[in-house]
Amino acid sequence: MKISLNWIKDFVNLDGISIKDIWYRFTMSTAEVDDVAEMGKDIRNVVVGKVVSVQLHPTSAKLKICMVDAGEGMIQCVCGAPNVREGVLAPFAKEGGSIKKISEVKKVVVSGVDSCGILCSASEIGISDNHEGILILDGNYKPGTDIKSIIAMDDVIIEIDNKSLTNRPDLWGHYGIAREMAAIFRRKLKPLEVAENLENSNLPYLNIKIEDTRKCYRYTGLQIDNIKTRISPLNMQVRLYYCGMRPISLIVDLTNYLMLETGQPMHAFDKRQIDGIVVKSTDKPMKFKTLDGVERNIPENVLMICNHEKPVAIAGIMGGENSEVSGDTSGIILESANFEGASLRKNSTKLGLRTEASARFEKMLDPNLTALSVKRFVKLLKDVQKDVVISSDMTDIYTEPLKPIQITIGKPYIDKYIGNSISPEEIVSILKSLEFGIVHEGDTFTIDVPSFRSTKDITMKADIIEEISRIHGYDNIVPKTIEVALQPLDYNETRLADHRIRELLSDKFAFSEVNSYVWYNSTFNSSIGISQRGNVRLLNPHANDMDTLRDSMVPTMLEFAEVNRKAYDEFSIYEIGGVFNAPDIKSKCEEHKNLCALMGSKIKDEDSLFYNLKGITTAILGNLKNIEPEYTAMKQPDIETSPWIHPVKSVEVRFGKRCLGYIFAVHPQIKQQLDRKLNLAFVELNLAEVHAITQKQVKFTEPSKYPGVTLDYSFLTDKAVWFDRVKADIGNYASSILTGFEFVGIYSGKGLPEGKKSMTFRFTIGSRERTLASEDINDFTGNFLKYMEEKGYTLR
Amino acid sequence: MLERLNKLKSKAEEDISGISTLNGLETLRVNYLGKKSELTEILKGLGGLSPDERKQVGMEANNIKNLLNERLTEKSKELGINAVKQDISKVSDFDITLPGSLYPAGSLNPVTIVQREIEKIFTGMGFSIVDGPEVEDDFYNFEALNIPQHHPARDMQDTYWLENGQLLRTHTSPCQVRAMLKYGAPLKIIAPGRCFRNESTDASHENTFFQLEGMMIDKNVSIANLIYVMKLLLSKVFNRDVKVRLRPGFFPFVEPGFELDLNCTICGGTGCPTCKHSGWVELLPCGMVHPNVLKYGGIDPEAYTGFAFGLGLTRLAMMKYGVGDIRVFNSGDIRAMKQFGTR
Repeated sequence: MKISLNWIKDFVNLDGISIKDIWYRFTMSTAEVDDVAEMGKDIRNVVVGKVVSVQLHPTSAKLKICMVDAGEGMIQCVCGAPNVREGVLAPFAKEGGSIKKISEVKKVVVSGVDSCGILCSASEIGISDNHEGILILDGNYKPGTDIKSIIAMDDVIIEIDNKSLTNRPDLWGHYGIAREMAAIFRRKLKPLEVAENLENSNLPYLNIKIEDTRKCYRYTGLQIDNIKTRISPLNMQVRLYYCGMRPISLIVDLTNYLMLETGQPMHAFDKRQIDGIVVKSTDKPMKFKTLDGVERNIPENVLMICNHEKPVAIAGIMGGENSEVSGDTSGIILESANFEGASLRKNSTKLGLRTEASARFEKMLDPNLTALSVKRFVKLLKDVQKDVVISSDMTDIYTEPLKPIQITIGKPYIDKYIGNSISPEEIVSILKSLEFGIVHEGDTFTIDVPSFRSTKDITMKADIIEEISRIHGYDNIVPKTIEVALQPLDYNETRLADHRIRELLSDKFAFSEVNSYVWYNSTFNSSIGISQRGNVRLLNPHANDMDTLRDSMVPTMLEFAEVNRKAYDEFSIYEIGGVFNAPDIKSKCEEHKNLCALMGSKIKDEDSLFYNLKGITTAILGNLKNIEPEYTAMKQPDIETSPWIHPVKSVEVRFGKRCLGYIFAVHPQIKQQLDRKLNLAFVELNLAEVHAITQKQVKFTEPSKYPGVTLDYSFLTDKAVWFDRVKADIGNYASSILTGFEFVGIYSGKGLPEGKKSMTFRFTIGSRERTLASEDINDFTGNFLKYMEEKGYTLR
Repeated sequence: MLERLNKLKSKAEEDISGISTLNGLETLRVNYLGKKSELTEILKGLGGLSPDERKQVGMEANNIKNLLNERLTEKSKELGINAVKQDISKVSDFDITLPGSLYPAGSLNPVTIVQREIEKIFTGMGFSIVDGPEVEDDFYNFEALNIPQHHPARDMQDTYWLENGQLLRTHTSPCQVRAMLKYGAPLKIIAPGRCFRNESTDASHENTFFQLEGMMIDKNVSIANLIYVMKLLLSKVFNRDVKVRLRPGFFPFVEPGFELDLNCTICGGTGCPTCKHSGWVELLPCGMVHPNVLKYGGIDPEAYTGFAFGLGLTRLAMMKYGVGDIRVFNSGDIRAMKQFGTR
């Protein structure tokens, strides 16, 4: 919303306060000022010029040569405006002056003729968009008079974001802003001058009926005739223009001016179209042409203003073409009404039509504004044309009077809430300046909320605290530390565990953490052969191919593989993020966090990536929970539901009954679609399952005092024999001195018999009682190798 | 015999001082002091001499043996030092400028880094960290935060709605209500997490971003406390004293509500394009918890008061690292991520 400082100064004297201070304090106490524009600053040395003579230009048909009396003798200038003629007065920019787009007016030669100044259009002096001709000034001004003494073009316009005024219906007009200024600077607010005696029972009462009283609280109407003036005063036009509205005609401009001044939207109907107003909701869909010439589909249950049965306006939103004022209108029915905010907002959303009026009604305006604004309208109209005729009694239908709000609040409560003590005198003075009624007795304040703050804004004690503290100034509140009871802190163990995983992956294993979007990109998914999946759907996605929340993070990571595959031959990334699922699209969503880590390489084969991730998974779970997970073959149905899982190179990660997730090389089909040369392997863990595991206690064993011996042996086996079997067989060997063994490596290739592979293990033998003698070692070796031979493993 | 010893002594001393290699020195040691050396032979043959001669020659031979041992040790030290010097001179072309071995380094998302920093600050002040779901119910995201149906504030949130009637949380504030219902008062929590707004993305707008919610409820929590804690937080975050200002801001779940502005870090408050020439940067919305919200959380607003705030983690990460385009954070582009390291 744009606010004119000149307008504010109509109601409150701000002398002695700098513009900077005015808007800073407003920002600090009321709402943030987005922008400050100094209007008229770039217009200099423009005076009233009288066009004394007009001659045709010798070579150009469009141009005229004018002699202008600018107060100090005749000045010749060339003018192209179609409306320039002898005898008129217009703004004249003298040599050395400045207007819009021309920072210094200079003597120029136009098609061979000297021109020493410019006769200006309204747009050239910045008070309108109109550039059709020069601005012809009505009135008896002396040539040479500074234009700024006639037109109030020097002004400061500030802009406030409408969003920051959502909760303040009283600030949607200049008068409300002026009231705020008066409170902030403790200056006096002048009363709004209005026309009196509009309640006149000698005049006919208008025929107005409110049928839907829950949606229209108040409707004030007045008939005015004999309006002959068509154009609004220049200064009114300038204010409208500065505040972002286009001047149209006196009647329309006045309704707009009132809306900007009091905040009350008004509408003028051509009296010839109206003889009985009914406010009611549509009972069936209909078509209606609004005054902007658009035919609109009005659905059922939208509040309309009707002339008897015939709709003439969409209540609170926009008038109809059938009843709008036109060039020959001299009699009007003025509407000043109060509508319920929420239903009006709904209507405006349904129609896709938001107007200055609807934006205000949505905020729940003060119902007392309706009559006040009618009176103000008449006052301003009469200022322009004295002899307008008021031809009806001011008709005021007020069915649902606003309930007054009274709040009682204690001084200790105020002090406790603010944390600083504010004197009772200041509290009273602040609330009075905001026009609250206040009675102070003992420690208690009894406060009457004014109607313009009572529609929704102020309802309880905390609201009063806000009023006191913001006008007192938040900057004046002294910060204070807090005294609280000492308590042990509840750590969020799962979050700490997530951070541990991040540290391990990023610090130890050199992965990069990424963040992503929680919805699938189905265009990408289908491009690599992943069909539509997931039951959690967005109703209003920003893109149609992103309407499903992910139930796995693998597709997201595949997308990131696509992002990075060109820049890197090898990369490792991971994310800890939400995944979502539901039995069907109408059911409530189940969500938990997953860890998804991806290793991609054009150098290493996918087998080693797979084993890397298996090792990393073991390390993470060992670190977090001191456990060793089991890795088991995947179940067929799981492979089917996850098309990215390699049917052979994949394992389930388990601990006891819990399935923690999967490790797998990417399915060859997907790999083919993405990048044949890029090997990819994944681990995806359900962190809810991981976090649910109880950390295993460390069990300490005293290291032996006697040195042990390590022995490396490689065994030949058939290729079909898996590590697990060999491990189990070794584990089953009973020996009192075999204290442990570990896997060293596997080899299959040159030098081995066809169909064989070689597995190397390192065995540790030792005793807790003595140093082993060489006979002990020889005994063990002999017996153990014989055992292995019997099991089918030949020493290589 | 003594003469023979003297000759031996001077010959040996001469030989030792003339030798230049450790190997040569070892040969001398064997020659002069070994089992088969002349000196050992003389000592072995002492038994054949007269008692007087035996005493004299024995003493002299042992003296010479000790002396030679000493000489050998000295010489060995001297040669050792020389040998090391020589070895070092051989490697004088060692290139210290070759790069160190390459160890791969990982990285954390910058939002994680900033988030952990703030978690640390608040954990240090005794705040617990809580989590909430990303898919929320209308109740927690709106209603319990004093944003009823058709409230204009719902428009400002640009909500992603789900087919099942739920929504993607538009802020971390639902965690306030969940925490109140779960723990009651007094309460000190922060809740970092991912939020969603259905708006078109550009360099400064994202539909997916991170916030950190904070809330403190106790018997006497005041506006003055709120200002204190916020100043403390920001001086920790920016690692220096900061100038802040509190001005009115409207959020339905707080009353009064504030916008906290930070003195512009770019221009220091004199005005620049970053702060739109105001000298201040809007940083975090905060306020005193609305009595209705306390009621929804099962807490008596007459007995307890509290403050709450919402910090834009993504925005903070942008400020901290000078990231100009917010979309970088969700891009998955390792070239960007690697720059942030892990601390």
